[in-house]
Amino acid sequence: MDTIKSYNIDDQDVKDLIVKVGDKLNTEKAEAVRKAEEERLRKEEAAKKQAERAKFNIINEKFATIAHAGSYDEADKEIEQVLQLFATPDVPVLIIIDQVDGVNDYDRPTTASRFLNYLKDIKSYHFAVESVKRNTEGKISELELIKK
Amino acid sequence: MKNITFSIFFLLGILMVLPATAQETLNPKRKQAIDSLALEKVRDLSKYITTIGSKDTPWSEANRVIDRAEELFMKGSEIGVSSLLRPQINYYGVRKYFERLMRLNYSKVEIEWYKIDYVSDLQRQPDGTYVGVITVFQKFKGYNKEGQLVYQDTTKKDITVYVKRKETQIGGRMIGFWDVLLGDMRVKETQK
Repeated sequence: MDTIKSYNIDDQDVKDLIVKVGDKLNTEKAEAVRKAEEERLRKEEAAKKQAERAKFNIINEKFATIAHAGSYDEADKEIEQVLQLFATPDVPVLIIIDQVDGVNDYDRPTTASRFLNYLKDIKSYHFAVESVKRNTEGKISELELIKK
Repeated sequence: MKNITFSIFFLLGILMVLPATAQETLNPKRKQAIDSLALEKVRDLSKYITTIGSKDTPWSEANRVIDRAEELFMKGSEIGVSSLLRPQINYYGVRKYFERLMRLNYSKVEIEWYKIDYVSDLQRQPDGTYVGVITVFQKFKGYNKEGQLVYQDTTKKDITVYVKRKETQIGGRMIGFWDVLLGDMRVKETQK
C-alpha cells in the first residue's frame, strides 16, 4: 500500500480505491487484535474447564458402563438409571468434534435418550463430558461432550 | 502510465478479494475433524448392520437400530446387494435393505466391515456441501441350523458421503454443526 501511495497517482478512482483498501486493512488489523484477545480468553477458559472436567468423572463412568454392558437387558437397566440424572429424556446432548479459534464444531445434536442408546449400539464410549447445565432440581438440562 | 494504472487496479482488486476466497477453504484441522466425523458415521453404520443382521438381536432392538441406521442416510438413497449366485446387482431403498437384512434366511449371520477409508476425498461443492466417497469391504457369512457355513462372500462397496454446515437453536443460542449424511452404497465387486 505504501509503495502504491508513493506513486502519487493523480487519478480519483485509484485514490478512492486506496482509501477503501486502507479501511479494509485497518478493519482486518482490528479484527486480528480482537481474535488474539479472544484466543487468550479461550485458553484461560480451557484451563478452567480442564479442572472442571474432573468433576464429571462419575457421569463418564456411567456412560462407559452402558457402552460395555454385557447384554441388551443390562444396558437397558443402566440407561434407565442414568436417565434419572436428566431433566427429561429429550435433554439436548451436544458433541464437540473440534475446537477452532475458540469456536466449537459440533456433530448433529442429539438427545439424552438417543445418545445413551447410541452407546449401547456402538459398544464404545470415546467421549468426555465437557460441560453440564442443570435445572433448579439439579437434573441435567443440557450436556456437552467432546470426542476423545 | 496506462499499464501502471491497470496493474495497480489489478493488485488492489486482489487485495479486496483475497480474504473472501480464503474463507472458502477449510482450516486443515477442521477438515480433518470433518473427515473423521464422516468416517465415524460409516463405522457406526457397520455396527448397525452387524446388529440388524445378527439372529441374536431381539426383534424390537433390531427395529430400533433400523430407525437409527436409516437416519444416517439421505432420503431416497439406495443400497446395492450382490451375490455370487447371480450376476446382477439389486438396489433397494435403505429401509427395505435393512428389513431384508433382518429377515435373511440363515440361522446365523456374521457381517464384518473392514478397510473403511476414503477413496475420494471430501470436496466442496458450489452449494457448500462437501462430497466424498468412502470404500468399505464387507465379509458376509451365512450358516444353516446345523451351524454349517452355507454361503460367504466379500464385497467392496462405495458409499457417497455428504457433509454440510448447518445451524440450529438450542437453549436460546445458535449452534453450528456438521451434518453428515450417507448417500447411495454401490457394489463395486464381489468375491468368494
